[in-house]
Amino acid sequence: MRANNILISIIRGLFIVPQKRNVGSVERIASAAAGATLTAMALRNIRHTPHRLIPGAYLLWRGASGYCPLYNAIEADTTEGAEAFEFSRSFTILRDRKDLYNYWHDFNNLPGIMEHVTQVAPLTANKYLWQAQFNGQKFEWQAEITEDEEYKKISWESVDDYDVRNSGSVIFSDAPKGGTEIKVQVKYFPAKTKLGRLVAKALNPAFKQMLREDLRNLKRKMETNEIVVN
Amino acid sequence: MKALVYEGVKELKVQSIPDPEILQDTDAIVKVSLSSVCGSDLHLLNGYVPTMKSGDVLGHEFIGEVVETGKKIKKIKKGDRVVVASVIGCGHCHYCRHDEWSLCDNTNPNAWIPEKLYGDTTAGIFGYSHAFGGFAGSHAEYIRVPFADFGAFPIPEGVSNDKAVFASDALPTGYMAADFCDIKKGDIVAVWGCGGVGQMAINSAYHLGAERVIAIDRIPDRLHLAQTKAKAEVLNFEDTDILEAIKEMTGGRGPDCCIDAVGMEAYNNGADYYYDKLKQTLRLQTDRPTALRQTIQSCRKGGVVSVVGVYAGLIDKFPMGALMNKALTIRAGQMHAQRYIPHLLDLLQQEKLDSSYLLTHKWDLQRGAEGYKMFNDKKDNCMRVVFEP
Ligand SMILES: NC(=O)c1ccc[n+]([C@@H]2O[C@H](COP(=O)([O-])OP(=O)(O)OC[C@H]3O[C@@H](n4cnc5c(N)ncnc54)[C@H](O)[C@@H]3O)[C@@H](O)[C@H]2O)c1
Ligand SMILES: [Zn+2]
Ligand SMILES: [Zn+2]
Repeated sequence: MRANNILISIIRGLFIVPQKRNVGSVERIASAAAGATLTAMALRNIRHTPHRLIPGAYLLWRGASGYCPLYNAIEADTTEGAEAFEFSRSFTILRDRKDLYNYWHDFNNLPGIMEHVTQVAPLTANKYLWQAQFNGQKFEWQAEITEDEEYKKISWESVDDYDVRNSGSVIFSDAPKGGTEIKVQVKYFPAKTKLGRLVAKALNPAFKQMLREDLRNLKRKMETNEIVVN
Repeated sequence: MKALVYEGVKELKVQSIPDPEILQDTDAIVKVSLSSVCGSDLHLLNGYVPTMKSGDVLGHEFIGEVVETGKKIKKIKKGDRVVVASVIGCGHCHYCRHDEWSLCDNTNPNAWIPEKLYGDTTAGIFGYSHAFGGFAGSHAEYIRVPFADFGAFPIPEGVSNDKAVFASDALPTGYMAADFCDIKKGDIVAVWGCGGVGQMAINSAYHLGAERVIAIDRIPDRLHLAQTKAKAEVLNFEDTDILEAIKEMTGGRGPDCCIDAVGMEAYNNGADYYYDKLKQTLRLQTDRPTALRQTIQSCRKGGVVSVVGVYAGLIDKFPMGALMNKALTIRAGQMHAQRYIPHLLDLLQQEKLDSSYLLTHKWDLQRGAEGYKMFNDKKDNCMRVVFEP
């Protein structure tokens, strides 16, 4: 199974709002996949997602987009508001809060733990351009730092003119027996359709898993200075 | 290079595969001189541990010579004769720092699999399925050893290869099993399973001060070795009611500690064997816990049940009532090799323990498949066949 292809399809299905169906540009997909949320979504690990989940969500999307009547039926009913999806993941890392904060804060480091993110370049003091490559395709998006508390917390939000608004934060606190508890919270708003919500719901576990794998890489890197390979 | 490769359930073949390379600065490449079979491989080979893939190289109990080191390797050097721990520990995480190496947070590239199965990740293990990291095993001419400064130990002079190879896995496992028992003066220990692990558990239990050790199996030559080499009192479960016999041998109390060195493919001649086998075949349970049930049933009140036999998933008819009402302590785990190896190498050097009698066959790797068949079928008095790649 070409997991990445499927994932990209799903992300298309999930994030591109119906009104803008023709937009389909890579930027938009990226914005979709994106924001610094993408912290969350180094797609490398999508193949690690439970198989049950992907085909389900994929079929859902394909069924819906492939058959116009169904698609229309679903789309017609778009009265629901854009309710946010949220998830978080915590890891305990045997390093000082300060070291972890500094590592994360140097966004140049992030591509090292998020395999598909190729570059994070500063645009202004608070705004960053993210570039990623999934399955041979290049994507980019912008995200802004909205909160920065030294050694404690960094928050971000995707920049407004993208289809998908998303935001997140990373919080650093001392673990009771040494080391640091790092908690990443991600919030995103799927397309304002039932379909968008359904797919988002189905995919939520996959996104969680991706976030988990990226944080695990951070832990590996910070504790052993290596990301183990087999 | 030449390697013994898993091709499917009960199918092994010697193939030519690419030589391993240094992939991380903390790696070493070891030229394998001896590589043993282990009961754990049988669970993989017989299809009871999922996530094996065709092309995987088996083997995790080995010694060899360091032929290449990564840039950050400090403790070992080219030319060292080393024994390598079968579990891979990073040396830096909370668990490694607390000497619980098989619980390492950072050495399993597929951490997500055990996390799904068990709720958290476990360490990587050489040649031990993708759930445990998908690392190539040691039944090959060369092996890549990640985090080699922590996992590879120079073998002291005076310790022969035939002894040292088991310091990689069977000996530390048996030793940990006995260590779990927290043996006190006068303690009686019972050991289920007289394979390599069980034999080492018997020896270790005596070494740690057990008064008596009772050993249970059904393979005559293994029982004979348990009796003659390890000085155990032996019981054959094929012609003995084990629960009865053990009670009688311990003044009606039961052993202070019971060690399960059998694991998920336990055999027995009672009805529960067929019950378990059927359920296992139908995948209604993944493991056959006959021996485990007996350890719990036999153990004296307040005693310790030490489980080093491997279980992979779910079991049925677990005697929770006995465990709870007799206030037993149960301890278990893949072994923390790095905790024990230095001490065990000393004991081998001082001849306070002997592991060499486990080596009953030394064969060319070319005969790998045949060797595994013999080991699996417990034929030709095979305790452990060790390959020379
Ligand atoms: N915890 C660890 O880190 C670790 C390391 C190595 C091996 N192991 C496990 O230890 C176990 C033993 O390994 P081994 O290499 O000695 O295997 P082995 O296959 O050589 O020996 C197992 C023995 O158990 C005996 N047996 C089967 N059913 C029995 C029963 N009902 N009662 C008593 N004995 C019974 C068999 O006859 C055999 O002699 C395996 O489960 C293996 O996976 C664990
Ligand atoms: Zn083993
Ligand atoms: Zn570790």
